[in-house]
Amino acid sequence: MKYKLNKKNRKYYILVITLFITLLLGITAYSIKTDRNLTFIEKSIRDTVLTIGKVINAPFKSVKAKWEIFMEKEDIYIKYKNLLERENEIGQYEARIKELEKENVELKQLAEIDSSLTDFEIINATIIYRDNGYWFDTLVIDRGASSGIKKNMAVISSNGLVGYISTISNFTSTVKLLTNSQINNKISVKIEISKGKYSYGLLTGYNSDENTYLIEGISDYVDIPMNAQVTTTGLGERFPSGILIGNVKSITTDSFDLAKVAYVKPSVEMNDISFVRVLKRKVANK
Amino acid sequence: MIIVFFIFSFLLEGIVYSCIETNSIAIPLFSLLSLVLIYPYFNNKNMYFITSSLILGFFYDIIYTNTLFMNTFTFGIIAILIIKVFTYLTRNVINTYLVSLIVLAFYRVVIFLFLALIQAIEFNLLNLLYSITNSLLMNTLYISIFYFLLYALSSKLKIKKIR
Repeated sequence: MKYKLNKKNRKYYILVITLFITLLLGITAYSIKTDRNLTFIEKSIRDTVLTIGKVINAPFKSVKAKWEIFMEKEDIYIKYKNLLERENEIGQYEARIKELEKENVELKQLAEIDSSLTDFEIINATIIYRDNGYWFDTLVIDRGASSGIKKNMAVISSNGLVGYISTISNFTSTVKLLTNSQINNKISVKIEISKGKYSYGLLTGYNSDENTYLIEGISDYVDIPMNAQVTTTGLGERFPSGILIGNVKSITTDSFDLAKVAYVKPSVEMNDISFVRVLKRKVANK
Repeated sequence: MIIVFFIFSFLLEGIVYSCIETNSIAIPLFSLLSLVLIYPYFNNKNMYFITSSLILGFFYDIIYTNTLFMNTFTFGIIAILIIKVFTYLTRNVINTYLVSLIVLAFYRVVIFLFLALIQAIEFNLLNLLYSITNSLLMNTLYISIFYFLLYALSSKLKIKKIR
């Protein structure tokens, strides 16, 4: 009788443990795979601890920055020479940009367009730190809901597209990087095949071994030059048009031989970002 | 001292992690290994130790990984593992290194299995091996420094600990 009872208890414990682990797996999957809204407790803890962490981390970041400057000193002269050569071209570019901006405003007025796919406001942010999950490619920045940050806003650096805002608290936000394997939804991109001419595709993934993005669905009838620039199209809700993603490294065809597949080298070095800009997109409501 | 050490290790992990590259060979896991170092100072109050581990894991989830309860559960299991292992081993520096290695490997395997089961990462045993080996250097340094520091502090402050 006692033996039967113990056997029953053992089965009961196994069942409870199995159910518990299944529930835990479900909750973990939900928290990782969806860009869920944080609860009040999570937001409070996160804001408090990260703010304290930011203050404590500041001197270490300063030391790290000074060390990087010291290490870069040798390259500074070469960079200076290159910049001097390009200085003469800057005046021309500035004049051309002013002319294009004026033309853009006039055309918008004529067409009665309030905003276009390239319009956005900028919110500057500093990276507090990177998530420690080892596999999660996410960053935490020091701007949150109180600064006007909302979910799904695009995040860029000086070199190109970094990712988008996945979760927010009052004073901090998590940025899901483009290199994150959990990034949901394909990103519509365009590849510059010649001046003013583009071929379109979808950014569907990232290969960490080769450090390349995978772009699929490119027309088979188009010749894509090596090193062609890849930018966002602005279609879809997340990313404005014209943000640099990278340059084409190699082209193959898909397994059905119906479309081309491009491997793109990212323009942003994800391990080496300190400051980012969050883009608040304006889209016409008419 | 226990709470201070937990908070210190927790914040130190964030600081070190922000200074290194993601593919570095010096990935810190100080919050986890602080459990190994601080266990003797709980003086056999195992329920408090497990509760503290669960709370630490909860904070780790919210701040560092943005998941729900994954690390809470894992830290709790690891606390039980530490209690069981230290029942059979004496608390000296060599055994502390050994237990730290066991705890580190166990943590990586559990998290890897968790994530592989929900298809958050690819089931690649090589990645698991890299995740374990890349964590060894920094964490060995951490254990080396703070084991003796805690020992010296506990002697000076006359804090009881189990042997």
